[in-house]
Amino acid sequence: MILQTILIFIVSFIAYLQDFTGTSFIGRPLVTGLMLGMVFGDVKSGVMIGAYLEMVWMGMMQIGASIPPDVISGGLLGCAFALKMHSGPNVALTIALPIATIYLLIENSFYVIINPFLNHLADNFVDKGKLKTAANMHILSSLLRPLLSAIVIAGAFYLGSGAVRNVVAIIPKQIMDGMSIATGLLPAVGFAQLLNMTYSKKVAPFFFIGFVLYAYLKLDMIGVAIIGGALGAIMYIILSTVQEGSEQNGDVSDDF
Amino acid sequence: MISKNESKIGKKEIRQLFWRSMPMEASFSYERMMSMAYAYCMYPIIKKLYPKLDDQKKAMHRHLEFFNCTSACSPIILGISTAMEERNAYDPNFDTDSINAMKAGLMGPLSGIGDAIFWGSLRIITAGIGISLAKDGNWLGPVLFVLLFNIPNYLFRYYGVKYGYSLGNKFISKIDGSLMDNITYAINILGMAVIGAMIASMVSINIPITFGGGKHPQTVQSLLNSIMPCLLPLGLTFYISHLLKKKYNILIILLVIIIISIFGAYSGILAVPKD
Repeated sequence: MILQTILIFIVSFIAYLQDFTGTSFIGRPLVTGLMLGMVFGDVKSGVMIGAYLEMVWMGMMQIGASIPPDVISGGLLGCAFALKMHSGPNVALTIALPIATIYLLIENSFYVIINPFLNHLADNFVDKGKLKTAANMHILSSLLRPLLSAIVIAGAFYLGSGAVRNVVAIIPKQIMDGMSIATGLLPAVGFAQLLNMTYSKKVAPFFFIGFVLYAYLKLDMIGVAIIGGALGAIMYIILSTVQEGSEQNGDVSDDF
Repeated sequence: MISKNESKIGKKEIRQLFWRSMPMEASFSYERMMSMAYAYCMYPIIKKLYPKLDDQKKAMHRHLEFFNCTSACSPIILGISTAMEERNAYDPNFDTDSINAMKAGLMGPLSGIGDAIFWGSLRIITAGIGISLAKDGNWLGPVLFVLLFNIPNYLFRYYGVKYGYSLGNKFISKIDGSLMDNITYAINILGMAVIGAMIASMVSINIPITFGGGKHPQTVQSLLNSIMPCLLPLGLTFYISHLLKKKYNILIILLVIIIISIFGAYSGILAVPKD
């Protein structure tokens, strides 16, 4: 049991290095199923369960800022418990889905609390002239998530599926909803900072055009970018023509 | 114009950018998304290009701003911004705002393309191949999935940095003086339009409270939407921008947002946004 827990810690850590290794999808159930199969000495079942869970999660996409139930933790614990109990993909799924939903709370605490905090530490380090430390906040953050996640998952495995379900039942739904709501509000802070850097009266009209293109017309980003680019090109042509004209005419234009 | 021999950015720097771009998504946050990763990637470039600490600081702050793009497409933008930083290091009249405007203008559309290619197509196709073998318990399934997905993934990243840098370089070196101002302005326009659209699409607030009785109770949300869709996200962003200009502490703003979110969930004033 101790050995299995340690091995699950290692597998979980590797799985959560998915984002560290170029969003390589090594944390997908299809892949972790194989790794867990090796841990439990039953590669065939592990791979089959992984394939089944992969099919369930295949359609759930992380697009932009919306994130579906955490596939990595769900896949790991669902598959691990199923293999331990010598049961099939169905058991894996019934364990995986609630865990994956609850796990978003842990996942979001990185995205909503820990990483923004580290981001501000990085700002401060830059101000103090410690640029290298500032840059390495990224590495700290990148490795902290796999490490803490692997501890949580190995711990949950050690406690057993019954205990995990009980813990899951205690967490109030409102806290989870609150974190999900925060994920919708927080991008406003990032955009506000970006606006303070780039917004000016000269470009304000185009900001609102972009806003309206999505808010009213639900145009996708590529469409918005094409129109934005075209508007930029139009302004460029107008400005360069005007400047050329004034250069050629020189003083003459002043007489009018 | 910067000739090839003078340039401080060579093969080594390009390779370094490629490796550093690997954990692009690993420090994601909802506030500035991939900003830490971007600054981490740019750090050696900045160190190399700017001899003065003050310029280095400014450049680091520039790249600690909001950034979000499909991981596999980010290297292209990294390459272009490297070319722009290089230009800035040589040309005192370079408008540094255009660097972030370029990033903002490209991250949206490249994410659209990147999500469709890497998440929507390549992942589905390779996982499909993997699953077809794995459902009978064949270990080759997962192995094939990882290889078939990641070989194109890594190649795209490497050539992304390379191509992005030479594209940025070629584009910038051709232009000078007032022409540059006009082009910077055009890039700013593109960036602004995309930021406007991103605020509408990424910031989401849902107020489910109903008022008015009878058969058709109206929610606050639908009322606000009938005034203007995405009114709240726009208002919130401008309000926070205003607070930041007044030098309010950003960590407190973040904390207040989290507290309001949880309070909103308990009281039912706010609900999880539905897309």
